[in-house]
Order: sequence, then structure tokens, then C-alpha cells
Amino acid sequence: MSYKEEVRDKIQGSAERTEERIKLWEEVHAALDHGGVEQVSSMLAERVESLKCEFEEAIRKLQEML
Amino acid sequence: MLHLKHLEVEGFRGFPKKSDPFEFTAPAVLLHGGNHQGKSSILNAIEWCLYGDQCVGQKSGIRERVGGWVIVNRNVPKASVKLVIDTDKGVTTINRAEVKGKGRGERTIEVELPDGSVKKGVDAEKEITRLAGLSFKDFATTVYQHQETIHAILVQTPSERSDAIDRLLGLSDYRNVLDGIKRSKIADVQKELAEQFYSFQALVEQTVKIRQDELEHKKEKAVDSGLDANQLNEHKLLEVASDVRNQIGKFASEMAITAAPISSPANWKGAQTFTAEATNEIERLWSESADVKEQSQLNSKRTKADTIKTNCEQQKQAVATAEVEVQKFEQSHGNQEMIETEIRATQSTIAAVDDEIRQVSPKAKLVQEGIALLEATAPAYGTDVCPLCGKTAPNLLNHLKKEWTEKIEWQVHDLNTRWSKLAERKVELEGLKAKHELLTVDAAEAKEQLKASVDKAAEFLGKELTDRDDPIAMLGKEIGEIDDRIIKIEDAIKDKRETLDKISKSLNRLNLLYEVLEFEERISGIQKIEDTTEYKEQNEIRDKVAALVADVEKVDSTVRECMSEQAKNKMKAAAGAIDDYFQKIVGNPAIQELSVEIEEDTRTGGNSYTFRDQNGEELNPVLSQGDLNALALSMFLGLVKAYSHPIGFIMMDDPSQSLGTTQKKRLVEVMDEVCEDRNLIVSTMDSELQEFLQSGLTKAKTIYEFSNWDPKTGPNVIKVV
Repeated sequence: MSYKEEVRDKIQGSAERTEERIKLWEEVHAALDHGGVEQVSSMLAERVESLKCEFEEAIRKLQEML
Repeated sequence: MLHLKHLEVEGFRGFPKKSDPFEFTAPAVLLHGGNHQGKSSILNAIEWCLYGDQCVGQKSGIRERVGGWVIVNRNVPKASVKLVIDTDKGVTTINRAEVKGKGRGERTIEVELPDGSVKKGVDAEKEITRLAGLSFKDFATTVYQHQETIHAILVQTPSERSDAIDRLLGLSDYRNVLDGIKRSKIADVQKELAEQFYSFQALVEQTVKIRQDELEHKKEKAVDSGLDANQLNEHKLLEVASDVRNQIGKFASEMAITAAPISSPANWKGAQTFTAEATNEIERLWSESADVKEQSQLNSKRTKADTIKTNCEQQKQAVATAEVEVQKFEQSHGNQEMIETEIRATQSTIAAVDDEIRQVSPKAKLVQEGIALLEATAPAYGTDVCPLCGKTAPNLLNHLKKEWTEKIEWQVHDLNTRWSKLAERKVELEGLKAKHELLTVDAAEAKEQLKASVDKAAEFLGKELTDRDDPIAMLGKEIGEIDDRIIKIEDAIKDKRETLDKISKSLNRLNLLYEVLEFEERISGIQKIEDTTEYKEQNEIRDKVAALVADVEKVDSTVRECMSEQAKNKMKAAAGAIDDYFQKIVGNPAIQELSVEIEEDTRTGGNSYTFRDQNGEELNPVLSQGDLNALALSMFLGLVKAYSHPIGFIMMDDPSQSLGTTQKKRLVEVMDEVCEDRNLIVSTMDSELQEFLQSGLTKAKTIYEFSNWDPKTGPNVIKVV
């Protein structure tokens, strides 16, 4: 069994957010295959960064309400 | 089981030229030669031919392969490797090639199967995978012992040594995933968002406090304006608005003007519009009031009368000043007639003196006038031309001057002096005459302007004025009458103004009530900010980030778990063989049993390996370089033994890096044991090991001696059977 399947099987057995975590794992190992450690790092960083931008926009609008 | 038959390389790494075929059919193949002679290139070529790109770069899990590790020799454009293998189904030939500097399209792979069929590209890769029956990672762990494996275990720090063992166990993918997750720092972003959120909450609390202070201030002002502290509400605001509306209606009625409709506010928010409409209506009613209109007209008329009166006064003063100037002049110099009479008399006297001069010297006037004329015309005509007849007379001017000086001047000197004084007086008189004329004109102009002002006064007063009238006094009287009327009107509109002041005060209270209610609503809005879409949205985003971080942490912990399990399973499966090989190679009586303890290294995220002896004592601090080398080889060979796979050979690259003579001999004994099951390919620069291999390996051997490597031709390889 490859490491991809091994990790996937273990996540499959987890109690919550199984689907999302399996999807995330597939994206992580695809990133590793495609561009190595840096690709994994940037893929995750970009994802959280886009949420950060949305959050900052919401906070900016809330500040305008004060 | 997959066995190697032979290999040919061309343009691959240390082989710029096409090599002779390397035969691998013997149970042991020894590649011997100095450093940088192309031995490792042969092992690399076998690996690359079977696994292609998987063994290049970071994904290979081999550190020396990251960056700068090239396939194509720098002196040739293309690398190609031909590998002939023997499997249960027969002989298969693999041809893999790569052109320098080109993309994936210039990498070719071709497999010729035992039945003569040929597969290319992706199909060929699939066929090789099927034939090898082993992943690249397992190949790198249990078939090919890289130099790096031993080197890293020998020279790195404990944590890096653990990393090297992880990689030796084929766990590099796990380590790389963990490394990528760690570098993404997504948990830091979650903390950052939490901090921003807490700052925002603090800002909300601070803003509410400021707004409440401002509200208290507004309430105080409202109470100061006469409102009851308990009445600062919408009901009171609407009541005040209604009162204002009634007051305006009553005011309009008193003024006998029809009031424009003003809509009452439906709620407190309509107060601003109501205030604007009421203010406009008040201004309209005020401006349309008869008294106010008359007051405005009278003020305008008074301003006009005052302007005309001031103008008349200024013009009258100007006439008086001009006449005084004329009088003073005539007192000093006489009037116009007297000055003209004196001018005429002076002119007559000058003519008489001229006659006397002519009588004394007939030529005198002629010469005098000739000199004056020549001096005046000299710049244009010179001094030698007669200005009367135009004829040239040399030195005419000088001649006349000489004539005047020597013959005439002494005769007419006194008369000339007298003539000059008379001429000066005449000029003076003519100046006085001009000055008198100027003063007279100024006086006349002042009178004209006074007359224009008087005409304006007449027009304003509506009657003709004669010299007997005093327009200034008449205008003064008119202004007095206007002032009296203005005073009477002001008395009359005083009550109306007081009514307006009352309405204004009511409007002011209305505004204060509005401000109080507006602040209350703003504070309420801030206090209810948690109900807004934006607030809910940021909560959702934070939840999403938290979920992502939790997911990543779960992936991270799962990878760690799997990696740890893999390490433990592999070590457990190979433990007996590792211990056995370690004892055999090291031969240290103090170490009768080797066991390994695997824990998570919380600092690096990888595994931490602790080696212990039969008493549970930690061995890591007491193991020599040779022991560590033996440990690395024992782990590799232990894994080879523990995991059965379809590859019928193992490759060892420079295995004796820090081994002593005895340990090398023992290693060869172990290798001979391994050779029972699988063919052995060993690359070494160590001549002592080479000798031990030649004499100690009990299986048939093929030996290749590498020497005289040249950048353009590659190594000189001699096959020794």
C-alpha cells in the first residue's frame, strides 16, 4: 500500500469531516508530486490567505459601521 | 524475479561516449576504481532506466538529487540507457533517453517485450512498473544503498541522523508532507485572525463608550433647552413638531398670509426634513410680511438718500476748495486780464530793445540769429552750409562766432542783458497765465459735478431744485423722516419677531431631540452589530479557517502516525536481521543485542531513533563512526532480507566509508550471505574491500575496473573475469 493510500485510509476512519480531509489530503499529495515541499506549503498558504482576505474585508465593513 | 542481463550507456552522467556493454549475469558484479571514475553512474543508469523522473529531484527523497543533479552529460546533447532484463516471462529490453534542455516531449522510453512487441511512453512506463513490481521508494530502500545513506548517518546531528534513517526506511514522502505543512504556517494565520477579531471587539466596546458619552452631552443640552429629562423620546419629538406646525399656522394667520402645507413627521427620523420645511416656511412668511417689506424698502431708500447726501456734501466741498485756489492765485498774480496785459507790454518792450540793438549794430541780430540757426542745424547739414541760400561757405559758424565776439558783442552787451531779462519775464507770465487757466477749469469741473449731484438729489426728492434750495439739508430732512418710519415699523414687527423666536426655540428643541434619538439608535446599532451579515460572515470565515487548520492538523497527525507505524513495522520486521548483521559486522562483545526505539521527534515532526543494547542502555553516544556505518548497512541489508520483492539484485555504493579492516571482512561475509538470495552489485573505491570481495565472495564474480576518467571520453573500463 502506498503512503497516499495508507494516510487516506486512516483519515477515512476519522470521526469528523472525513470527506473534506480526504480531499485535502489528495490535494496535499498531488502538490507534493507536482512541486515538492514548496508546492505543499504554497497551496496551503494560498488557501488560508484567500480566507484571510475575505475576513479582513468583512472586518473593514464592520469598522465602517461603528 | 527481475534479473539484470546487461547495460549500455551513452551521454549519461559520467559517460559522454557510448560504453561497452556491462554484463550483470554473474551473482556478484564489482565496480572498482578511484573516486569520480563513473562507477556510481552505472548504478544511477540502472535506477534511471527503471524509474525515470522519479529518481530525480526533491521527490526522489535523496538529497544529492535536489538541484544540479543532471542526467545528460554536459559535453553531449543526449543521454540514452539501454537495459536488458530477464524476468519470468523472458528477456525484455528497456531504452530510455533524454535530450538536454528540452521539455518532457524530448524524454523517450521504449520497452521491447519478450514477444517482440514494443511499448512506448506511458504504456512503457506502466510495463516497467509491472515488471519491477516495486515502487521507487521501496527500490531506494531495499535494492539500492546510496552513498548518501551511510554518509548522512555518519556525519549528521542526531535529528538529521533520524531524518536520514527515515529516508533509509523510505519515509521521505511523509517527511516532505510534514515539512510543507510546517512551512505553510496556516496556524499562524488563524492566530492572526483571532487577534484582529479581538481588536475589533475592543474597538466596538470603546466606540459604544464614546457614543454614550456623546449621548449624555446631547441629553444635557436638550434639558438645558427646557426639555424634561424624562421626555427625551420620539413621542415628545412628534409633540414638539406638532406644536411648531401650529405656531407657524398661527403666525401666517396673523400676517394674513396663506401658510404652505408642512407635513408632520411620521416618526423621529422625519424630523430633519420637517425642520428644513419649517425653516423655509418661516423665512417665506417673514419676507412676505407687509411691515417687513416696507422696512426693507425704507432701509434701501435710506441707504440711497444717505449716498446722494454724502456725494452732494463732497462735491460742495470740492467747489469751495477750487474757488479758494483761484482767489489766492489772483491775489498773488492778478487775474487773467491783468496777466495778459503784462505779457503784451513785455512783448512791446522786447521789440523796442530789438530795434535799439539794430540801431547800434545793423548786423547784430542777423549774426546772432545766424549762429543760433547754424548750431541748431549742424547735426544735419554741418556748419559750412548757409541755411538761407544753401551755398557752402567754409567755416561759416566759426566765422560768425568770431565776428560776433570781436566786432559786435561789446556794442550790444547792455541791451542784450536787458533783452534776456524781458524774455524771462515773458516766459514767467505765460506760465502764470496757463496756471490760472488750469485753476479756472478745475473750479468749473467741480461745479459741474456738484450740479450732477444736485440733479440726483432732485430726482430722489422728486422736485426741481433751484439755487435757492439746499439739497443737503433737504436730504437730511428726508433721512430723518425715513428713520422715524423705520423705528415705528420695528416697534410694529417686534411681536412678530418674538413669535418667530419662540418657533425657532421649538425647532432647536426638536433638533436636540432628534440628535438624542439618533445617537441612541447608533449605539443600539453598534450593540446589535453581532446580528449583521458582515459579523456573521467574519464568524463563518474564522470557522472555515479553524476547520481548515483542524483538517491540516489532522492530516499532519495522520501522516506522523503513518510514518511512525511504517518505521516501527519496518524496523520490527527487519529487527532480527538488523541485529544479526550488526553483530556480525561490528563484532563488539559488549553489544550482544541491538534494539531500536522509535518515538516522534516533536521538534522536527519526524521519527526519533534510539538504539539500545541488551541492557536497554542507549548506544547512540557510544557508537563509533565505524559502528554507525555498520548500523546503516545492517539496516539496509536487514530491510532487504525482511522484505521479499521481485527484484533479484541489490546495489551497494561505497558501503565501507568508515569501516575498519576487520569490519570490512565481516561485511563481505554478510554480503556473501545476502548473495545467496540475490545478485550483488557493489561499487567501491576501497581497494581493501575490493580485495576482500574478490577473495571472500564465494559466488562467481564479474569485475569492472574504472580508471583514467576524462570529461570528453569518460572512464576507461576494463572487464576482469
